[in-house]
Amino acid sequence: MKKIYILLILALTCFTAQNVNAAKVRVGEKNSETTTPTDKFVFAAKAGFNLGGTAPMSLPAEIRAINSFKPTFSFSIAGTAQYNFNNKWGLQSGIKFDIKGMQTDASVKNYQLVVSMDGSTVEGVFTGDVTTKVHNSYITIPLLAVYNISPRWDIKVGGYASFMVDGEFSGTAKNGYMRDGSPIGPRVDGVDAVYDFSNDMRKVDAGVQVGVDFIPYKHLLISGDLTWGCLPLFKSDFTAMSFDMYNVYFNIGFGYVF
Amino acid sequence: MKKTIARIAFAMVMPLMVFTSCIKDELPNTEADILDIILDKDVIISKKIENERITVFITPGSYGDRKNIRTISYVISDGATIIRGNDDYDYSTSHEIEVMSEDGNWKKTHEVRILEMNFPTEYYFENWSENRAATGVYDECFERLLDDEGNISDLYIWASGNLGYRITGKGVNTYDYPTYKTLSQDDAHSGAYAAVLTTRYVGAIGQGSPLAAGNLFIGEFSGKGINIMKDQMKATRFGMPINKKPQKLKFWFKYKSGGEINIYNTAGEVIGIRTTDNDNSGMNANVGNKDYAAVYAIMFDNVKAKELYNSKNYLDGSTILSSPAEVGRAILTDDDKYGTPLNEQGYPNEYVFKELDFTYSAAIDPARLANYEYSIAIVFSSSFYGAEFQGAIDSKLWVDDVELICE
Repeated sequence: MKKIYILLILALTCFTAQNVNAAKVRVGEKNSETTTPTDKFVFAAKAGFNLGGTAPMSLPAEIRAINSFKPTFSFSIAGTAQYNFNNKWGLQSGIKFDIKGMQTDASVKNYQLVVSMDGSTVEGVFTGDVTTKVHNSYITIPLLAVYNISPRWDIKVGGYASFMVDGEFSGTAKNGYMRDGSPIGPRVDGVDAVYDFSNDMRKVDAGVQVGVDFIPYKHLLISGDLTWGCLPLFKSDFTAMSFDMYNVYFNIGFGYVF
Repeated sequence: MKKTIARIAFAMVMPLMVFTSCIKDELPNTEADILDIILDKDVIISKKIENERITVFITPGSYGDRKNIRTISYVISDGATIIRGNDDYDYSTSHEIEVMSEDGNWKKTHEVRILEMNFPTEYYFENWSENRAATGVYDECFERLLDDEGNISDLYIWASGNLGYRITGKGVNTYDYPTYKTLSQDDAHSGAYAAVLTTRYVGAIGQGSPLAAGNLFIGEFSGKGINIMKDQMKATRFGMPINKKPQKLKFWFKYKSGGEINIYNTAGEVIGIRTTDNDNSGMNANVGNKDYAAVYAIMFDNVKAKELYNSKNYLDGSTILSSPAEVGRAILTDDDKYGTPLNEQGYPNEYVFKELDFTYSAAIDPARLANYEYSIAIVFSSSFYGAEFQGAIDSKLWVDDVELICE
């Protein structure tokens, strides 16, 4: 799967490079058309990937070190429709299926956690290493104002709403000890536990989105979009972790403009 | 094109900076433990440091009446301070030391007892305290001694696996735990209470025990340095030093077996039954493959144990019945261990008296005995093979009025 996408991106990149001259010619043509209204509707199909993290807005003091961060390769496919009011302003929406995921390994101290340790649920504060795996798939509907800054470049500002299709938020707590209940509770050493908060995540996410569309060639679209979730990842009654987390991801997409 | 890539790369890196930047300053410590107690004289025979209770047994007479022990030092959590009890040196009775964590948000009161080592040999199971926590409350048994001046010494020499069961979160009331005091006086042999040990089902689990047998033993149950859920055999630290040579173990008990000795896998499923065919313990007379009670007392050389077990002067669940450090034992072997008489409702209503003789496999050196170089472990359990995750749910053992007859 991964390989196919890498190949696709490479192919598109090469294709783009070879056609720069051709594109220039066409852009020149497009420039000359600015006096006449552009197409009212523009449709595009895109494939891309998300890079980023599901993370607290600022790292809580309980996290002492990030030992590793791995943005897992998370693909997205989307169809977009853009309505142009005039040759400067437009409105873009569409539907996107995307996966937001990452893997982290952090050293924590006094990190509030509910873990499943050998089948038993233990709630307390943990000091040691915590790994986290996030792999969430969403159906996302963006709504963006589009401003055409140059023939090839559009900037986009708006928001999005996502509906979770399937979600995983799980990990391990290892190489440390847990204090049962609170920092003054009985100490449990040699912790080798797992946690799974998949069912505690909200089914919806919504946030702000800013991005650019670059059209190097008449039918080719390269887009970059930063999506910043404004809803905490977990439901409000979720207390197994002491801080809120948000989806912050950058999407790079390659598309075909019809 | 180059610019585009640069811009995209920058935008990509931006969200990552959220993760890699701004590791905050470490917060002050939140722990408020007493980690150790140090005395200026080498007189400590035994030390039991629990989360909220510390019991130190010292050579009798080494600090007079113990009303003015000024040379005591506490090792406490990093940055913590003692906020109460440090200006009073009277350790003739229970002494409270309150420790506040470095961040000031957590305070814990520890009961500290410096006791002269006069090991009690009669146990009536009349003294119980409740260990309360957010997740539930469980019973703890202790012995109370009164000296000539009427000073009370509470000896927490008994231990059970209730602490481990508490962590599973399955116990709410005292009688939900594997080990608790009788709920009705009618159920005791004499006095107000007897100890009740019940084998509980814990459930599907990774590598811990799906079964928790009720147990009560002389020693300590501790999760220090181990994974208490996985290494329950190591959590049971059997034995305390004694300076007398036991001859007999007397006790009153009743027992109802929960059924066949089920063998559980780590998923909490029954995968077989223990029979004489797959039992090499030599203990199973195979009465319908029934689960049976464990009652035994093991006398062992604690200096030898220390040599054998990496400086640990106690036996644990995996060595208690098979240690080369053992010098003598008394063990319940007759068929009453499978069950005592039942009434018409199928309830064991009759206590049965037992008197078990100690048989010695090695000579006891009187000089070393006087020097507390031997330890005694008295062990009761509702399922003999409980430590191996084998037994029957609801096997139940009542014990009362135990006496260790010494020379």
